Amino acid sequence: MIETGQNNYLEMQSIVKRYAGNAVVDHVDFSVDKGEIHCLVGENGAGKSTLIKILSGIVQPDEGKIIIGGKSVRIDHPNIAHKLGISLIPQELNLLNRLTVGENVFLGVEPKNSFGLINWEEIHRKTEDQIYKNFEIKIDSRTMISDLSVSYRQLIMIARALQWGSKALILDEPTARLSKEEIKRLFEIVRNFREKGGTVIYISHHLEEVQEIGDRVTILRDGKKIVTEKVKNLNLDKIIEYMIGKKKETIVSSAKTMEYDKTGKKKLLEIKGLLNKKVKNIDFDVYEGEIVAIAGVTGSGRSEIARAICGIDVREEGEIRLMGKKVKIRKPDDAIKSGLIYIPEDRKSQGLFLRMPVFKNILLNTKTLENLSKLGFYLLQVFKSTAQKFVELLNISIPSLGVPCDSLSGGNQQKVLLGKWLTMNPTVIMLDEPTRGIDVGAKFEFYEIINRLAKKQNKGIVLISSELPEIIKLADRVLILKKGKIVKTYLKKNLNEAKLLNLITTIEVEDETEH
Amino acid sequence: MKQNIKSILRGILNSYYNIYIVLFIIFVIGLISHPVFGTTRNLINIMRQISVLLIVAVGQNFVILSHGIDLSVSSIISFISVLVVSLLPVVGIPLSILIGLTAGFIIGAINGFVVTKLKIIPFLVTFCALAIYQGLALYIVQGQMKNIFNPNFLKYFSSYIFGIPIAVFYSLVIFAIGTLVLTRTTFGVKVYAVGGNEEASRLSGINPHLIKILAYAISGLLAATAAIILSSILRIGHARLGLGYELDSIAAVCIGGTLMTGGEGSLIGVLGGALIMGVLKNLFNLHGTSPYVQQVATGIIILIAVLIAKKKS
Repeated sequence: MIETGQNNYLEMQSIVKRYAGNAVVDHVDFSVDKGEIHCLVGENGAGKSTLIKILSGIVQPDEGKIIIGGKSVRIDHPNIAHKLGISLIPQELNLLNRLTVGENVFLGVEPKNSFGLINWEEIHRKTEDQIYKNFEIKIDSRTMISDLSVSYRQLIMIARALQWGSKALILDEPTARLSKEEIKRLFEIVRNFREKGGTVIYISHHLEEVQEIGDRVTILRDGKKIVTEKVKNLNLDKIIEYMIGKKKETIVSSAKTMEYDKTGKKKLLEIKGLLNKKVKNIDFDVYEGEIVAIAGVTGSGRSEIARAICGIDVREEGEIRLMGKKVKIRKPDDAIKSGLIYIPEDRKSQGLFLRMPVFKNILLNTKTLENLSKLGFYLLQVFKSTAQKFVELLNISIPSLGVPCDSLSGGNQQKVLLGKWLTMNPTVIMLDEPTRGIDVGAKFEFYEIINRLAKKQNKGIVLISSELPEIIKLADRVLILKKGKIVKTYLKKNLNEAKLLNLITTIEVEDETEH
Repeated sequence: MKQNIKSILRGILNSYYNIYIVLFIIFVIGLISHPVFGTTRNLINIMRQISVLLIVAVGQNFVILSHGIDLSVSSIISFISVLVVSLLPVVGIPLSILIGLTAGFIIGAINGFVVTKLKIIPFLVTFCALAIYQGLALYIVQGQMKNIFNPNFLKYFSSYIFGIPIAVFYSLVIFAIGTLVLTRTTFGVKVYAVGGNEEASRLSGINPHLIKILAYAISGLLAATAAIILSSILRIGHARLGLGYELDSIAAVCIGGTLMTGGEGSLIGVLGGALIMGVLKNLFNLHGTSPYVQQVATGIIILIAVLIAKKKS
């Protein structure tokens, strides 16, 4: 523990937040000093984002106190957080793209002239002055937000927070979509803000950024605070150790199967030179019964690889071979018809038809629909009995086949989504965050299913996941992805969670590949 | 047994069918409030009026299910009416009907094409189409109406079978086909899928643009069908024949419980919606209610019906 003196700006005491009985934030104490850059790190699901949502008034804690400037406060709405001087700069910047810089900066606090009308002159003049004063950057306040790059938009978000009188900024993964140059500029802005007495809470997956910019760091794991320490007192390995902890052997590697043996196995999928705006020259292959994981931080292009392969996003170049044969994939239907499928991470917006009954959801891909119908007509009997088979196979608990999907739990929805694709008997399955937002029990059921698909049914699996224990547990081979490039390939035996975390969070890795 | 009845009752109360309760109430009010309402003649009259609306509403339902809206049905009716009636003496019945139906289908498909490929919102696209085909209809007949003299045309589309207007049979056949398509074909599944979640439907291999274009084309085709029947009933081709059908058909679909955002709804509900609209209009006319008051009352009653239908979730 570190001393907190009169400099203390805000303090969260013994914060608890439960979802469905599970504490995602578990008695966390978190305090931030005036004029410091305080980093918050932890694996996915450690409770970082819930904690900052509580601080910025988006989520209410079940227990605990928040103290700002010595007074206990309740932050039950984002507006109250603003009034208290706390501004969240989220990953998805919520600016009004069709308005100008000045209009955004002064949104809600527009100065009026003597007729009670908005004084545009003053808005634009003050915006330009403020931005120049704080960041030493000259910008035309009449520029439309939509004409600005991401890094400038971030700057405008910060300028708006300052205009609202913010004393503390919460930056959530601010560098995820920035280039190196832009990151440099952002760091200058953040340091500048600190020099003027501002407080920054900085959340990042990139640990070397934490080392570069942080004064102190608080590390969360499984909803609990592990430590708060000066950054200079910690090295990278120590941070990673705190983040991962000494996990029980059962969780990490209970399903530790034999090392994958390629001999006698067919190559199912081969990708060569895949290229578009998000991914660069991707080469990889997947064998029968093999689980190949793609690991990388948010924004590294994990999903984009699969989306480009399956014809969902535009592909500029690249050759795709399925079982040795070259296939042409221009739209999702082509991929589906050739046995190559992508199960998206966001099941609600990209996967399921929430108002449609379960049995139609399970059959809803063009290949299955075609298989089960004649001249476009189908028998309800056939639909229901086919769906029933997969409901039983995947152990989906539903009152009846006709209930709409939105009445199911997250785990069951995810099973419906998986079932929907298994009905067409795919050759290669690309799973994007297959266990996101489902409870622990269902998670382990999923691991069983994925393992079974690979090892028993000889499917090729591409696993995209931000949960490293999941990758370590399931994958035979891991591709390390950075900024849209595969920088390294590892076999399971040469990896553990700490090494993997180190690999994906540090920027430079020499280019070498194991086979 | 008791459990069974209970669950059936709850099923009725919680489904589209509760608009049939509303219909029943309106019907009873009609029987009590006016002696003529319950007469066979009047009921047949109601059926004939509703049958045309039902045909248009079936098409409208396809469009709304696919997350669109078709404001142009009324001017398609007017346009096809003057087109077919003008062609009738020149090319004969089969060809004029074929041309009329094809034109309706193509007009709808163009709407769908503009909506999907040029990415203009459905309201605006069909709003413009409403003006365009209304104008074309007026231009063709120069504002005049055209009488129908072909007795066979009248026989095919406005005669009676067993005392029931032939239009009722046409509408029931179309209703049955529509129901079959929505509940027993993969196309139907795709319409719901596209309306429910367009991005997910694309990822499932469906071509959402094609499905939407077909939905608008079906709406155009059925509007053209309605135009032929309506022209025959009134024995004229008229450039304002379809007036009001866009709102009435949307109202019927809406009352029927179809979500305006698409993806959910049934034709059983739409049938109920069309029946409510028809019975209400008939009642107002019987009571000699002023057309102005009728509009006010219709608006309020639609709101109430939609509110009741909404309760099901």
